[in-house]
Amino acid sequence: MRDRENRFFSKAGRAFRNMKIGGDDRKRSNNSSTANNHQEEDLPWGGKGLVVSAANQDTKTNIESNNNGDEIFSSNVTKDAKGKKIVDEYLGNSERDLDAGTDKKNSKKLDEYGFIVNLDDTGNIRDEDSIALPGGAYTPSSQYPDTNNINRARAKAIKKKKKAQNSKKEQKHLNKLYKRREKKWIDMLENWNGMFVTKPKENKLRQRIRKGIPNSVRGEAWVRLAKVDKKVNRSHKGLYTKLVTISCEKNGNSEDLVGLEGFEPNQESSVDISVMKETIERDLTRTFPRHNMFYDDGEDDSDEEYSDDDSIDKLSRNSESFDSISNPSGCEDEDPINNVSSDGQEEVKDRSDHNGATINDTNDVPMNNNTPATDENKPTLQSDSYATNEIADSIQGCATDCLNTVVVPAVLSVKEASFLPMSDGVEVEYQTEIKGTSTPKRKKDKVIDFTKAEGGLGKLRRVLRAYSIYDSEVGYCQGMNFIAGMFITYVNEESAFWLLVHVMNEAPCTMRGLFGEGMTEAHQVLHVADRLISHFHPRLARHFDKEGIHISMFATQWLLTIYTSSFPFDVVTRVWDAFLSEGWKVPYRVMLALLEMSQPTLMRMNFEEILNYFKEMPFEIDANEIMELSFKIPLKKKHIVKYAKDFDRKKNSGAS
Amino acid sequence: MEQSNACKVVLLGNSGAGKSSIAQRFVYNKFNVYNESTIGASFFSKKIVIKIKNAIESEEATERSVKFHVWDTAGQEKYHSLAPMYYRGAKAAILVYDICNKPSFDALGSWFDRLKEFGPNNLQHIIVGNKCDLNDERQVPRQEAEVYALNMNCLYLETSARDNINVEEIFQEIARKLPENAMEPSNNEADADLLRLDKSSRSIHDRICCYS
Repeated sequence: MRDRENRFFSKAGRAFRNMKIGGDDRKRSNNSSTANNHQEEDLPWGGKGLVVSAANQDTKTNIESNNNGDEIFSSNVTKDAKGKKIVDEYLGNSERDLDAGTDKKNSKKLDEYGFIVNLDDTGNIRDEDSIALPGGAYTPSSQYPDTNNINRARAKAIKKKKKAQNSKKEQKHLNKLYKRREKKWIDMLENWNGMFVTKPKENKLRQRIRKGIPNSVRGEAWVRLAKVDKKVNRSHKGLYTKLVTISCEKNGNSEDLVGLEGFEPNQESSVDISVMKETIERDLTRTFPRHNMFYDDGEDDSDEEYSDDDSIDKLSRNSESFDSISNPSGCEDEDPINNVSSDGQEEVKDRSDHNGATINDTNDVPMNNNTPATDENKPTLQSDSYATNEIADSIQGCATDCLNTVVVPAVLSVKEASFLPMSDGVEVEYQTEIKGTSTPKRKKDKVIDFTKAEGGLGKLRRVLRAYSIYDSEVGYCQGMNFIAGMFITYVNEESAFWLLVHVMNEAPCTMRGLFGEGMTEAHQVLHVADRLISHFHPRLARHFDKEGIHISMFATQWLLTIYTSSFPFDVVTRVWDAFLSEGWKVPYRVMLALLEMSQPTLMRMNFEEILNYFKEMPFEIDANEIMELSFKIPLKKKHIVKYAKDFDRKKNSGAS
Repeated sequence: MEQSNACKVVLLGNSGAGKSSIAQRFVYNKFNVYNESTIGASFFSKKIVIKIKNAIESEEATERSVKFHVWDTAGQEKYHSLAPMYYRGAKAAILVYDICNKPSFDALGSWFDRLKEFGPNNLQHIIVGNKCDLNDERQVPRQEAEVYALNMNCLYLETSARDNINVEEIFQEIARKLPENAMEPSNNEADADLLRLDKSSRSIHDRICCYS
């Protein structure tokens, strides 16, 4: 088998090199890679989705052994059907073995937010018939628990799908609207710095944000809203890298950072760093486990491969060179080869290495195919200034493409490796395991270099660890994982970190108190929410009171993570668009809107029914409706301030 | 107010000990590989039927049903300040630790202290060592846990939410120890039996609970 495979790869490599020489052939390869990086398919709610074959273990092992530029084919082989076809032309039968292997698993289907929609509780990718719910999150079974509910969910999804098919006209209208909005946003991002100095313009921005930032520019818009780009490139340049290095050292200590610009050491927290790391580690796989970036198929050994220093070096070198030729269109649909003019040969090889490297990481492969929003951050890694025009072009370039296909917000996986420190960070707190043994692997048994570990989980680990060092008083608190995870699906790792820093520490978001010692502000927020319900929905509040429903029984999840942990992404992203620009009023408004919408239902329910209803409700709502409703609620800042003061008074009198 | 006939049970214990998995196994009888971290707490409910043997007329077994309201809480220490909202009014606390994680076992003591201080009176405690399917990686010897439970005067069970070992039993045990007024006769029971059972079943409780 091994021999055969090797033969297969070298043959493929030869064939590919031949192709590069002939002009026509090169064109052909472009076309094929454009087409074959993903396959479009209709998803149940009428949108488009990506279909990516789950990578096959056997094939992967063989790719490892063969890392010299031929991987581009191997990656195609594992990735998709059309890629295989090209290979087929040159190889005939040997392809069939691989095919049989690859088809053992069904293919992953991703929704527009990158969630795997056909994944069941046991971790298997299922076929067409599985439940796919509109709007992002596949409902985790903790929230859609028993079979009755699942059947209901499925029925609903099918109904929605039908509805979507019926109203093609409507769909067309929506697409048009989306395009128009996207265009406006692209213009706005282009002229960002000159804008919003005047009040009317600020209002205009707010109005646009309230309508929802187009998914393709969302990451970029968030970065601008939080002014993260400036931190990354100027004021806090390099700090993240240092934080990562320190956080991945065995006895990482923030003392080394004192004096560094942008770093303000706060009181050393009493929490043991190793305990914190452990908590983070445990939460990694429990953060959007159904998202393609964080999906851990249990047999995934992608991290392990990065313990191999050679491959890391190779990877980083290549990704660096890949950076330098990175296609300004930002869409990998357009193969970078297109953008290579003079010495194509050399760079094409880089490209192939790049692909070969990524294929090891099943988490990220599909995400790389369509990364318009986040690719815009590429320049931040290379130069200080944002080349705005170029970015705008790039957004424009891919935006139209993406409308036809699908927008999967993600980060280029290999990207980050290039700016991370290359050595020293090796953490050997776990036992070693000889690579390639057939014993079932547990995550604990690997030597992992966390500074370089690829994939969504690796990034999430670094971002959370870095934050826990950056702000040691808060450290890590469950709930932050969801927020950081959401950022990672939209922007690159470093920006995700600074976005987290922003929402934790800066107005209007300032979530820090929620997660700090004793979670004091969490109590305050719940109190304010409770009073707001009494204020805006007095009848419902009385009903809750009668049934013994306390605010903490349903709203804790909503408010602590600003809806990230319990709602599908179509809602989550809309809430966060507004939250980043308007702050705390937004989550309260959304809560009130949710209750207003469900008040008629809730009034008929008893204690148990109410709580069960709140579990299902997130998957039954329409993001647009809720957001529109929420902005109509006459909630003023003074309400919040008043009730917050109320709480403080009560607390103080209680304490004294 | 909350239905008085429902038995409120709260799951406490360190993060990652398997509280959510236990709740899900109990309520839906399934094990979800892709659980998310619990934020705040989540609510589950289930009705179970237990058989109570009548001590005096030893041949007879009576069926009673108990409605459980299970609150699965967040494990991280920071969330402890929110926990009282969930164990207020609870009839039983299930203290979960991971048999492969010594610190999670060591943390039980602080839970007992906290419950003693802030918890409701007459709260039933039950210690659960979860993940017993991973016996090879065990860090807490069974005996040590048993001795500890004996000292704390509560029941000890080793469970596996994954392999469905002893999960149902936790709740069975809790139900058996409940005072009669927390139960309702199951549907095929005659109301007349209720009074008769009241006295006799209590003596059984003492026997069932081996460590009290």
